[in-house]
Amino acid sequence: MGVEAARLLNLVGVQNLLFSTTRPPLMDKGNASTIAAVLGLDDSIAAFDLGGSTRSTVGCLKLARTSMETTLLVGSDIRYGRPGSDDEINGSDGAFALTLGANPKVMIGEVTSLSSPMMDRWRSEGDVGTQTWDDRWTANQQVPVMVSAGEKALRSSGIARADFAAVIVSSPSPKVNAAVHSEFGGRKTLGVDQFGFFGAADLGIRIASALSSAGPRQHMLVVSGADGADAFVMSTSNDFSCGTGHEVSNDVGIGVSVIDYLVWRGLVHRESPRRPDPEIPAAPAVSRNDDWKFAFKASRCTGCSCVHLPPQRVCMTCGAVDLMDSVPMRDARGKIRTFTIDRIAFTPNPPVVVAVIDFEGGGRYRCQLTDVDPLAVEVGMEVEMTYRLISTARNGVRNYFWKARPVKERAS
Amino acid sequence: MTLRNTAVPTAIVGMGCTKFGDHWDRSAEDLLIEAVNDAISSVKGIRLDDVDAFWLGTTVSGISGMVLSKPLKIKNKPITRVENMCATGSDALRNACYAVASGACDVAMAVGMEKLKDSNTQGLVVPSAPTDGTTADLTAPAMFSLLIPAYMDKYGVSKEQMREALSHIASKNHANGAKNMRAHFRREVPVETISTAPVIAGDLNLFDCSGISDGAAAAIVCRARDVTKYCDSPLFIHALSLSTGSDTGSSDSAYDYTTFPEVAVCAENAYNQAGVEDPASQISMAEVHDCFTPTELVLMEDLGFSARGAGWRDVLTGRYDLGGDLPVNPDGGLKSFGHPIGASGLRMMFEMWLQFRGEAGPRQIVNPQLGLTHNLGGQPGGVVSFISIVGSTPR
Repeated sequence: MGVEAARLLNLVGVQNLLFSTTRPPLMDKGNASTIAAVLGLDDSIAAFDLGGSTRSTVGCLKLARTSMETTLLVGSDIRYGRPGSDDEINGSDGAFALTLGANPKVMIGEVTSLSSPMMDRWRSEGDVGTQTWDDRWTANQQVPVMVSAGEKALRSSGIARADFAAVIVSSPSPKVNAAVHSEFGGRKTLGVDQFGFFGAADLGIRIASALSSAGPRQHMLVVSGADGADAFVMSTSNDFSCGTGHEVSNDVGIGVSVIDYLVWRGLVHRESPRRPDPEIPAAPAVSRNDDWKFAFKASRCTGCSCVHLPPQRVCMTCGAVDLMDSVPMRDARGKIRTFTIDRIAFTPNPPVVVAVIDFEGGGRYRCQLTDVDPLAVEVGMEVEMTYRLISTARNGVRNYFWKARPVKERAS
Repeated sequence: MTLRNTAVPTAIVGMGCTKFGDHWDRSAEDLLIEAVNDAISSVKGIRLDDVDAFWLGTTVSGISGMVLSKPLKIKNKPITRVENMCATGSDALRNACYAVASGACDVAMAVGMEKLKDSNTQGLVVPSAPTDGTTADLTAPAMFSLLIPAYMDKYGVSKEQMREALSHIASKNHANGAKNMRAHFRREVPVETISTAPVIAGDLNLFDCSGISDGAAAAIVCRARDVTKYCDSPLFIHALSLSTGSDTGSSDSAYDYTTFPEVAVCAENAYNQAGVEDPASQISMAEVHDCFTPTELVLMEDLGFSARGAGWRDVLTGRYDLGGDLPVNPDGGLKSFGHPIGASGLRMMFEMWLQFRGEAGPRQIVNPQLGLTHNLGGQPGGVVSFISIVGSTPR
């Protein structure tokens, strides 16, 4: 999801990548470097994971806003819990990405922070979901801290309350959010309100949602509550126009059954097919092929322009050896030439739908389809590539690679 | 390209073949002992020790020639283990023939064996070297099912017509297999049962797929000029052809999934070796790799038995039925035998052995002139293909 959000941005000149989540696919080994590789960013990038707390995201923002360098901030989270839990009822999966740097379209004011060790929510390693303390106590503790931070941010901005176009509030508790909103007024209903709390992605998603309908020279107060509170003022530039890189996708896509969802989250275990376990990606092979494995780069013969996916050293058309260019294919569109539905092969998302895809501009690749109704697939369907989970190997490695999905036309 | 027949002609003088099936009570070793001993006892006056060299075909049932030497206690003979996907057994035969033709030995044996039913997995599982985790794990039925929409689209065949043709192939092969005591599945299956069976992958249903079985087969070969020492009615080899694709179909937009180009090349070479100009009329019968029903359909065209796009009609007119002009898979094929990978190629040859010696019983084809066996392994877009042409008269 984080990759998907970042792919909507212009990433030219990005020097730092900060990735924030409370549910990292892997730990000890970072995930920011993987995101950078998938996005095809230069390996000179400084890519760091910040996680654990939902507050990490505003922390990234606070640290990056004063930097002279261009920073890509990616926040992505999945929220799930036991049946009946707060996370199950009020949690949503989502991601955002934004870049911070010189000549901003949106100015971020100084971030006011207040710290509090309150135990409103917690999760230990191995826990299914987050546990929470009584919501009324949380509101009693949290609201004053957030209001205090918000007022401080307002004062230091020197902007009058009446001049604010919107107040953006992000915290895990709907009760707290409502109370903070009533304190500051200026509540604006956001497209994402219906989804609940997005964890480490919540603040960014709400900012993007608010900006998607904002105009130039508008001020917004942002108040975030977690382990205390953070607040800042955000102002759109003179030439700001919505719809340029500030996009919130409300598309819930293809329906997912409750059973599939529970299986994906590891809460229910499906009987394995009588097939081999999902393959373990071999670390040396992944390293050798990292342009392919992450950035989905093909090789193109400089002699005859034949495109090879995966990259080859010897051209299949003219036989030239080692005369290849590397070409990124992740943004290429293609058409389905033929396809099948494999009802036996292993997948966390059965059945496996596989298509042979011929790309515009050359190149063929056979891969899984995703976000698709298996019965709606047809020869000639236009598809685009998306970076997804293939399987979780028995050594715990979550194996991500590129799949194709039907093209969704985006409002530009 | 220079590919010729062997300079010295070769022949099969003895064969053995186990029943194929779920051999829960028998090991890989048991199957080898039976096939080898049956082959030896089919040749008057020959002992196992008279065989100079061996080629053992197996893909997943063991490594090295000791898989064969240990159960049969073959002492210090040259034994080569052969692996070439589903053409493994056929390639063992090809190498044994080359050995006697070269003069390096006088009598050689090709053995094919596979023990698959101890594995507790569905479908074939083939080991692979560690990878970067980007290759899609598709099952064989899914890979071969890619042929169906492409073929229908190219030749304007409706879903109903395609279903009818595929069901005809399955029904024909099961009807032939019902007449074969060595087949795994020995029941005739009506077209309606086939057409309404559960779906496995794409438009392939259960009866479009061959089964998984255990089995073994063996052939003893010598130079054609030496056959009288061993046998009154040998099977003469007229062609041995092998073609290995470069596996580019999945990345080459020029490949259209309605043919196995490797097979067409393999066939051309085989027909050149055997002096066959018009395979559709000169081949009397064929054992082909019906791993899935659309495979057999496409093979009819790649082997030159049917014109391009006309295979499905020829299937429906009964041309390839046991009583048709060109019976295909008279023994029941992979559909009836299942597919113990290393054994299948030699099992096909065993049917030729029976047919040309007049020993095929209820399946006997009258006065066959030339027979063809064909194996392929891999997937549409990248296969290993083998073809032999054999007959009861020397070439």
